[in-house]
Amino acid sequence: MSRLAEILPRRLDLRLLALALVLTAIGIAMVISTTAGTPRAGLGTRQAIAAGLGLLGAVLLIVVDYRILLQYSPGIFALSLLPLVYLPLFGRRIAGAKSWITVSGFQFQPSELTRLAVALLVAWILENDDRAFLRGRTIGALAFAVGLPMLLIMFQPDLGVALTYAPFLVAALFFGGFRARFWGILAITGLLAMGGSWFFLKEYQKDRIRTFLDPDTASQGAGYQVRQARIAIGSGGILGKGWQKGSQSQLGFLPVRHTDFIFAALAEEWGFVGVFVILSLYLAFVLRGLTIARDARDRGGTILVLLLVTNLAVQAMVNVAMNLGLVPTTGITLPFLSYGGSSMLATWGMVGLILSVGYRRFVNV
Amino acid sequence: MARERRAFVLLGGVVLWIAVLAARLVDLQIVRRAEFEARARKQHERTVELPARRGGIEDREGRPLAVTATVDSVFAIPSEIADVTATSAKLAEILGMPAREIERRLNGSERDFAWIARRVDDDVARRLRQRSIPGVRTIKEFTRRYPQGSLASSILGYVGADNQGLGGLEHRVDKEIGGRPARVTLLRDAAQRSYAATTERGSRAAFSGGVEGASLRLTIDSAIQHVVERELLAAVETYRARSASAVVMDPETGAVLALASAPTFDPGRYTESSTEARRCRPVADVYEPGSTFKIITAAAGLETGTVDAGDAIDCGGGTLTIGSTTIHEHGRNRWGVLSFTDVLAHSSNIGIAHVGLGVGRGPFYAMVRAFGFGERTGIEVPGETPGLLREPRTWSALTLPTMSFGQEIGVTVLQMARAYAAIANGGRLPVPHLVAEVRRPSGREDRVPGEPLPRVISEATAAHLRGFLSSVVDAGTGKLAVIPGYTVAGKTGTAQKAVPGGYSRDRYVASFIGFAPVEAPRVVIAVVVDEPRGKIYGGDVAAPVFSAIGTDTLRLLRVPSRPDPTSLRPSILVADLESGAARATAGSVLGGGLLPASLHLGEPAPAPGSAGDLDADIAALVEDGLVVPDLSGLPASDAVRALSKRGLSAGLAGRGFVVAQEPAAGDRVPVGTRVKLTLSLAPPPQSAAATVSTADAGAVP
Repeated sequence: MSRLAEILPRRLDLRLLALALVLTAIGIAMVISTTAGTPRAGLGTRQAIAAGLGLLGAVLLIVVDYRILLQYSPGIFALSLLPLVYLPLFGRRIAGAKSWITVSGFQFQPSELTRLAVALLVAWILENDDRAFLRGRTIGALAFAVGLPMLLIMFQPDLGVALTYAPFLVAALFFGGFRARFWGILAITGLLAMGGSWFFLKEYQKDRIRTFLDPDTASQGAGYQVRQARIAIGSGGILGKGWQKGSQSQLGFLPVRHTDFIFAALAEEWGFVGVFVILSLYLAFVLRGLTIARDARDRGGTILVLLLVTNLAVQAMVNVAMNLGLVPTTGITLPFLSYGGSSMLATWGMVGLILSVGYRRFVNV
Repeated sequence: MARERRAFVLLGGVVLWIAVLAARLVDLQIVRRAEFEARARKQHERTVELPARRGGIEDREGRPLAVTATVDSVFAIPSEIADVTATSAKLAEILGMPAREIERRLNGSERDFAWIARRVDDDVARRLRQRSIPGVRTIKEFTRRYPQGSLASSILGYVGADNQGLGGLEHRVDKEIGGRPARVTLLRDAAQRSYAATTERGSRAAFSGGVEGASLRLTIDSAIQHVVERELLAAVETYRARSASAVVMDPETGAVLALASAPTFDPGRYTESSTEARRCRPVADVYEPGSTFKIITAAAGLETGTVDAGDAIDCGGGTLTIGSTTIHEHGRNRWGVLSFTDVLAHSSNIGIAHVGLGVGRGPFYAMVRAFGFGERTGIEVPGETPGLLREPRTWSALTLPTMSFGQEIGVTVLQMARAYAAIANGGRLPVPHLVAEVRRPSGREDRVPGEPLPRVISEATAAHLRGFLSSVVDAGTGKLAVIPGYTVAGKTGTAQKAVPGGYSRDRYVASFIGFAPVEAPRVVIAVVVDEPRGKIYGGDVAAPVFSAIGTDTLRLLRVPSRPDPTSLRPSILVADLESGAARATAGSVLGGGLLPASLHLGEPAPAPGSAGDLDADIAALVEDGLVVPDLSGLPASDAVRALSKRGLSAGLAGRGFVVAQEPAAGDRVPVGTRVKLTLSLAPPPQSAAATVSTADAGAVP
């Protein structure tokens, strides 16, 4: 133990951990600000508890060798799919989606944690195919590993969470090695799928896309969130209105301000300066993650960290862009900041895996 | 290494993406910040105005003319009402409004506020509160009240539903007496709930303090105003005139003590009156002054040295021919040569035309301007007209001689009163005003400064003119203008009204303008009756009104009367007796200055206990006092007039027709006793009211 206390600070990437902690703390502060004085007051505490549990989970993942997790990833993957199969069939509908499992009073969203299993499985698949370019079989396996849970989550339906899986596949193909012409095929297929999916989208989802394409004509309903987010962000100005003083978020004009639109609330209360700090923290997190990926002792670790960093980065960037009205509104949350216990656990799980890879960067451990 | 390169691609993508986000953030938060701030404020701020209390208006003695009271208004919060139809029905029953109208208001666009009825009666509000209908509440609102009814309404004007001055002084000084409403900026949340500045979420709410309205003290004396309005109304009724106007002014200061016209209106119910009735005629109406203007010509003659006060003037044997037009005297008068005094006393058109022609265009015009004609006096009542006075270069050959006797010029009653005030005070033109003092909520008081008045004519000229005007009353056309106990000077006027193509033969403006006492004038009174019927001469129609107003005004001003019996010419007119009109001089019997000029004992009917025997009445009057007449059933105005003509005064309670009196009819009371009258709007069925025009019932207290 004394040895651990000695080597832990030396081997653990404290900078990444600190970045994750600071972002989490800001998130808790914003959840408190956006829920104070409303029936949701107290979510800040729950968010803090979730973060504490997430930290515990992360420690657990640091202690366990990620190589063992990679080795057992198919099994972990299969286990994590069970609740996703269970939910569409027997789940209780909460807020329009069967996404939640209630265990003795605690609500839990399995689709968030499955991301860890998928990341592990994808890394394991790529570790076993180290050619310059991926084989067809491998590509198929990757598509299966990412596509199956995505499909199951869409059945809940929870488009926002499902979309957070997509970066795994793209990142896997990108980092695994994928021929240029295949990228072309993938792009065309993706576009066709997007066009085709129009017919399967719900009306509110279509509205969101219409709103994005033509925000001014969208009236009350669909354009409301985007418009309110822009007003909140714009009126925040350079220095912001101050913590708990954002009129638009405090007076309830900004919708889902503690989850999807927490960035807009932050931009209103802390202004351009605050937002600049947040974006810098995310960038620093990505940079740190990439350093860990480079220094990983094996291909599996590198791929795993790249997958996780890409996933978190894309999720954050898409959420911020959505807040700014640059992409259509999807239910993608902002990692570390948005309220959500399962999401917080999953995010910290990912941090744990990244730190675990970094911790074991020296072969002689 | 390929993987490292790919990691750099990822990093580059992230950096690029952040750059895009940052650009967007700069656009939203820095470039377009003001736009979004405005949009945010529009959403979350709500400004509520708390109306300021409108300042009061009182007369020179502090008697209230216009006050602000609080009453209940009914509003609803539609979002709190479950069953609109049922609520509307309930409200309709209490408020006496159509349920459909209430339903329409409840279904309006505003979900958190809708007026149902503004300024309801107290008992309606009480009943409403007792029923306590969910979503329906009352709120205190300010309302304007006029405690003296229609008194001075043409000066005061009126206010609209939101306490904004719409006419008269209320309009002119609206900004000052209206005050400034307090503005409270509240925060409003997405559910349209408002938060006051004190709540923890309302840190940005603001309160900007309002200012209570200033209050005004006028120069108007409501007792004199009352007398004037009473007499004007009586004149309009007696002579079935279109209208009548009068001004009572302090000649030294220009302070207006009374400014009235008839018909009038009730400012509390201005919507029920015509714009015609709401006009402040003494300042807004232009008329041709006729002979009352001759004194201006006389002033020009004396001041320019064209004529001397003692000169004799050729009145041309009744005609003056200029070009193809021949000017005549009024009536069938044909005078040869008259003294200057008699030219005015008998009101010779030809004589004064000669004076005017002698003065010449330029000097004459200059004098007319100097007396303030052709320009506004600047009185605080809105709608004042400068009158009509053309430049001499546009005059015809006939203009100067006819303007000399008051034609081809348009004036206001107020302008005439001011000109006469200058003659009364020794030659300085006063500034007519009726606001004596503005009292601000800060405690600061603004008093009208006593400006040095410009001299128009010399003291000597003014004295001569006063002499001329005295003789008009003493020995000329204005004999009926006498005020017992006081010396009176003035001038009659009987002007044919100008109609297209010349002058009307049957429409006249009868006027009398004068002042008293002559030695030290305290009041100038101008009376103008428009289109009297029956009698048309200023000396017959307007002079008695002047006398009646003057009698009460001097008494109210406590101007000491002269106990000189020769200056007293009280008479008792006994009208409508079987024997017909009879006249008896009773000056020697009655104490000087104690009684009004005339007693009409026969009107409306001989009072019980008085036999109609004149000698007996006079004897009884001296020994036992006056007999109180039976006033029951009379409209208030008639009853007051009947009492004042008998030397009694009236105390009124209520409005409308007399239903009770104290002391009772037939009682003997000392001169000047106050008879208390109880009035009701519903006349007793057997009353004499049926024979009296009910037009003024309730209009004049």
